[in-house]
Amino acid sequence: MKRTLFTVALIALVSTTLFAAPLTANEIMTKVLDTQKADSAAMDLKLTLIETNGTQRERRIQTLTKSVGDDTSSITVFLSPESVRNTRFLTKETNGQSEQYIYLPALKRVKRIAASEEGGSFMGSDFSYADMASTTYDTDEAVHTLIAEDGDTYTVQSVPNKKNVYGKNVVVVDKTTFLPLRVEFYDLDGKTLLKTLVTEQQDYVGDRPITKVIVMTTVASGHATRIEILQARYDMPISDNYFTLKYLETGR
Amino acid sequence: MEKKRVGDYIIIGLSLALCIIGLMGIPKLHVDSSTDAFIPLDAPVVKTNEEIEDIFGSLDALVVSLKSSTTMLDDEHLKILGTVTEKIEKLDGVKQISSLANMQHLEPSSEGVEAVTMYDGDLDALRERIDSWPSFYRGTFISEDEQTAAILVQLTLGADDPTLLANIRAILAEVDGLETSVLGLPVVTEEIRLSLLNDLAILIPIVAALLIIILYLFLRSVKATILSFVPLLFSSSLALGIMAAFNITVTMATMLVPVLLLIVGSAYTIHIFSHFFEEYEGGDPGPVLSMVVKRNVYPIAAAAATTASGFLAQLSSPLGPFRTFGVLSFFGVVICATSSLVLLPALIRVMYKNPPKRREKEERNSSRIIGKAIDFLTRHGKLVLLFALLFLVIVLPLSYSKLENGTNMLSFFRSSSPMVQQTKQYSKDMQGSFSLSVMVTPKGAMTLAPSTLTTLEKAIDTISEDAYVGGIQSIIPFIKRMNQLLGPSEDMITEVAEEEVFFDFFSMDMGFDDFDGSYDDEWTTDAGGQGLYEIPSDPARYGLSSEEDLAGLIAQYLLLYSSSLDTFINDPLEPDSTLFTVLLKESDEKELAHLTALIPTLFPDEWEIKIGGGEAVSLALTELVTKSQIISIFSSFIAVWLLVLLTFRSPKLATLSLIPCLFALAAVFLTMAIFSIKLDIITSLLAALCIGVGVDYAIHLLAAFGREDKDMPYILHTTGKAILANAASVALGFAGLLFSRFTPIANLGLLFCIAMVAASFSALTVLPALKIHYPALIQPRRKKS
Repeated sequence: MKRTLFTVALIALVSTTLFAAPLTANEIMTKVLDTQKADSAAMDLKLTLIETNGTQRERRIQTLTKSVGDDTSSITVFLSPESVRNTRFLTKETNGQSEQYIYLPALKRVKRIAASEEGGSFMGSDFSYADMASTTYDTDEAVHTLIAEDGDTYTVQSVPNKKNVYGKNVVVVDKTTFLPLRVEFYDLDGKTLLKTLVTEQQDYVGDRPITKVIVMTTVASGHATRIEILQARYDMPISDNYFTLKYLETGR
Repeated sequence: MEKKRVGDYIIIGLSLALCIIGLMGIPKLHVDSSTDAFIPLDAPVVKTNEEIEDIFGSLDALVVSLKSSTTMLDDEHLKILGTVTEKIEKLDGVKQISSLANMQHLEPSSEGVEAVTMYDGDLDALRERIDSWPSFYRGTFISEDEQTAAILVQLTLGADDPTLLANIRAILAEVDGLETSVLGLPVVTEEIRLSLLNDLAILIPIVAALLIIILYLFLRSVKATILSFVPLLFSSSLALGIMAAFNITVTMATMLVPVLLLIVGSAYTIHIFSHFFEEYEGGDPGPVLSMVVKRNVYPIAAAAATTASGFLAQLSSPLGPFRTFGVLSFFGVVICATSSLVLLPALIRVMYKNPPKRREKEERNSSRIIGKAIDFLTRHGKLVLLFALLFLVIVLPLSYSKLENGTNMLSFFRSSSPMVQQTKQYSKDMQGSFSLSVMVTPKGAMTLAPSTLTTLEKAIDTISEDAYVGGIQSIIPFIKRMNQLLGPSEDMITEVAEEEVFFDFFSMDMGFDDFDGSYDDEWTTDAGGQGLYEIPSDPARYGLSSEEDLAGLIAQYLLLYSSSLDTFINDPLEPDSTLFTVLLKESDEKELAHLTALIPTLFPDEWEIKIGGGEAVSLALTELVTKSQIISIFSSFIAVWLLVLLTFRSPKLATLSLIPCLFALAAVFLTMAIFSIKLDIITSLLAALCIGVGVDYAIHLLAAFGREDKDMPYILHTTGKAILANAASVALGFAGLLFSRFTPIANLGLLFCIAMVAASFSALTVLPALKIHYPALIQPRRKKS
């Protein structure tokens, strides 16, 4: 009996090895991006800024995003705190060029803001604008290498072709959902760990797995930002008219 | 006899073993060079600094300065500035770094505002950017003459300063053609740490050499000199061993203990040897030595007790390292005295068989001098006493009142040292590298409310008027700049009557697929840079109705700065507190006291104002040092007075014994006042030591006066000479401290020399004059001590 069990186990092991071709790093990262890709998304987010002394401050924002090919437009609006309530940002990325506008409710006016680097902090959080767009790279943006694998996760190292903000990322991917469980962001030298992103909670919106709660920690300061998705909708039809200056300023 | 010899060898062997064990502890010594090591952990300024650092991050900052003989604003030098900035930014312990090479500059664009890299290879553009906001850039990042550029480095909490500084220095070592320097409190602390053990390694041999010379001059025998030195070496080694064994931190105070023991202990060994030479006629030295030791146990124990009590008086100090210094020195003195009475006789018994040669000619000379001195005191003694009294009454209080305090760590170094020179140069070129951090928490008001900010600005303007203040860094320029860039011009202000639309992408009435607006690609925005460089204060001018609305506007401006303002406000949107940093050209205690008293008066009473930073610690320490000095003077006077009272059983004699101490103090304070030597963490130790050592001379003389069978010439010839020898050895030993690279330690050496001269001279003039003219005053109860 024991022998039979052993033989079955051996056959199972051999067949797994022979017939299930392992995923390459590129395939893993493509799946990661595909899992999170959406033509449009609306999100209601709670940002909690966590100081090193434990003090926490909350921000509530909503975002509306639409992607057509490589072009992305998004609107971000502050719901709280009260002093910046209804402050809105419009970001349009067309052919790799980014335009950003701010609507200041106190002045009831829109101004264009242009930044020359994408590494700047997003709303005083530990996320940069680039992090908010994506925390992983596409296959044509970076060289991906599978550096470790266990029963539940893949660990992939991504070295971007164009090193703007980071020199290297190391991503731990959930084998079931293909969501990043942990991302380590390294400095341009590829050695100094700058930030870590940890997925604290996964969830599903319909069949789509999402990272419901994520925490980004800046290593040098110990400052952290927790983002919780309170509500989310994906792939609904959105008119381009939402992503205009007129709409940003008037809401109409 | 043989038994005695074995005992001596055991004593010598044990001492040698302890000596070696003590010296082996040296590598384990832990050095703490910061003034933080002195300040009590529960001191208010420590709490304030912790509170500020908890909210705003580390208050420790470094400035890296690059200086060119021509201009820093050329491509070559800016490239170097960029490379250095980039390399330092990557180092562990760096939280934030800013220089002209990596900063983002906000400038108006045709549609709003643009954040551009300050220097993108275009020199003209860089100059324009600097000139568009000169109050922010000039003096902070580039000097007025454009020859000095600064890199401001903010450190992370708990950064490993020594490693970081070594790494920064390695980066700067690669820079060619520019003068480079690193400044800031961590640099000074590190320099002290590096110098502390080196200084000790230099001072011990110098002081030892001087003592050997003195011992030889007095004993005129190489063998006796070496033997007298052994107990001193033993005590100092043991003190070092105790420090290592009990993890006693080497601070600027405790490092002095081994050196002090060498000096103070020399008096005891001289005592034993001089008496031994007087009595020894050759042969077995055992019986003579037993008699000498027996006769000297009491005077040496009494002298050690008074000196030790002077040290132990430091226990009353509010400063931890002073208390440690006191206890350590106390035990050191006890070890010193014991080794003079146990180890030295053992060494003598083993080494001596023949009597030393006598020096009759010198004795004849000294007898002549003593005779003249007694003659003078007999004729003019009353005048001497009057003069002495006047000197004490006038000089002591006057000079003490003129004493200046100061524990600024930079002043520990000689003014010729490169670090001091660089700091002075930087203060001349830029806003200064000394800083006070002021945390303002407006109670009952919004931090970003215009009225709050206006109060803050007025306070900053008042503080800036002070001649020592080089500049003040605060949130105000950033708000004004953003208002200038994004704010409306006067003709653009319109009341918008339309109801504000609040976005909510998840509300029922905001569907995604039934958008009824029209696509309008022609909608334009206004150009930036039309606003005023001001704090928006008048709601009407901005089309708003309340101060709260204006606070909202300012918060909306600050959203764009992201987290780059977290050194000024604890939250960019709704901060409770704001921090401003006062940069000082010099660290002057009077000025710091003036500023720290002034600053809280510039704000409403209900606001919470906390002043911290390195200079606040320095000021708090100065106040504690003064307090410590006063307490230790009184406690050592009381301790010494009680000890002498116990010795002579006479309050009158106990009081008279303080005379040399008073003269020593008067001489020390007078010298400090004349040469502007500040009362600092080292020189404040002096007063108690002067009392502890100075009183010995009075005790010796008063005890001698008590022996009725001895006349004045004999007393001055024996005890007087011993006092002079003692004072000379202590003074010359302390003179070795003049070779210290730390100014306060060198000052301590100089002042102690003066104190010993004053104490011995006053003891040998005032007390004999009193004895001659007012013998009733010096009438001991006990006939023999």
